[in-house]
Amino acid sequence: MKLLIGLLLLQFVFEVNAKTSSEVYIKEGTYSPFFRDKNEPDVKVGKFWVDKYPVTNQEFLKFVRLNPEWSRTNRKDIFAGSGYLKHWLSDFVVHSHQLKVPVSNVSWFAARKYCEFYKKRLLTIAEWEYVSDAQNPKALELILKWYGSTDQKLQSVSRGQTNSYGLVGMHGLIWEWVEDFSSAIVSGDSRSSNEANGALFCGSGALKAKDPSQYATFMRFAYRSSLKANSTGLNLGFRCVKDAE
Amino acid sequence: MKTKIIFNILIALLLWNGFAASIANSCEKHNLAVASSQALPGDSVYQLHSSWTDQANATVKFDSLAGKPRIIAMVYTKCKSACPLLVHDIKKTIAKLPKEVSEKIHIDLFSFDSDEENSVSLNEFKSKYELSDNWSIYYGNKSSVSELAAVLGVQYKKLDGGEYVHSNVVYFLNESGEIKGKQEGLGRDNNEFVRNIESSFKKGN
Repeated sequence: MKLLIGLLLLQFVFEVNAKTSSEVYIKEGTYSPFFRDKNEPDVKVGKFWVDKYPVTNQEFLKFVRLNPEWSRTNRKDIFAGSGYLKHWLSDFVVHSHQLKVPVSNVSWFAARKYCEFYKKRLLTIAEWEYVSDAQNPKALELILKWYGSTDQKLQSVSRGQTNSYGLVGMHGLIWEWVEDFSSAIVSGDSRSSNEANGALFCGSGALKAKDPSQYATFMRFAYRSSLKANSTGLNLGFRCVKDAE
Repeated sequence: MKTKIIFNILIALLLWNGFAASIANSCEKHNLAVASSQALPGDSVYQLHSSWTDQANATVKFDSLAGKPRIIAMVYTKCKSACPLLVHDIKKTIAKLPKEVSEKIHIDLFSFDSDEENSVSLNEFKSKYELSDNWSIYYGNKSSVSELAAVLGVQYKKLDGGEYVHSNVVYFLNESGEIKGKQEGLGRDNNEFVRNIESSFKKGN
């Protein structure tokens, strides 16, 4: 009995703790873009509060219950493709073992609405890349290992690695939506090569990678530019950010 | 009494649109609006409810553009290279269409520039490129711009100095906001685009 009470108390303490530390404060900093368009400067990022973990199925379920227009049944093609939340059992039912797993199979619109609902927003590419600490050699090792792995089963958010900013699972768990994913114009729309720059883009310039060895970053940019706003993916989730006063 | 008449008219309109009577009867006014937006096809861009301001400084809800076939594109008025060409391309497309088709189409341009656009810059653009009354041009906030671009699949990025890199695409939307034609790039052959617009009209839009 005592043990039970003890356990309950422990759980209580744990939950309170988890709640108060669910966001991480990031102070102002500078992000140097990896791929630059002509005249593209360094970007100031911060200060803001970023979700420590990616949004889980449990959290997203709560959002869908409160906003049933975002349930599977009420899905609109233009906002989310047919794969939207396809791993859920039904509109409002999720496998218990998936509750703490990052939500995936969500579109950009859905992710954005979720953040908006909680008075937050999606991170920009610059913000995401900055807080993901991707240019840290230690992180790079994990990233390359993850990108090269074939095991695609999603893990619980608590299994994610904590990076130098204190954020969990920026690499190794899922890919994440960013607000300006469609500005990641790499080669995706330069299909017709030399013609594309002049014909498809205004004010365009050569895209130059600062350090060609960082191919992991290139993969993220390429992946983002392949997405559409209603795309969903088995390994594509998100987290939110809130600007600090 | 008056409200009741209006209410009845609304119901009649809905029925006319092919709505089930049972739904209409059980709905209150508020729900009617929701119901009618659900009547749009799932891939209609008019499911966006963003707010825009036009050259006459009037607020325009994006979904209020439903009900008329439109050619739409995203530009910004400071753009010196691609956007004027894009406008030229739209004019060429319009000129190629039979008059009974072209006179029914409205052209709507949406600006990428949520920071510096205003009704003055929109009007200057309109008169500079001699855009007639069936052309409108709008600006909106950052979120409206990014949602519209996302729905259309237009890529863009702001550069230092206020210029934008962006894809150049012109879309034809039918009355219910489905994309029925698309012209990518500048100065290209527009035969297919013109054909798509015409065939959409033949099918009763």
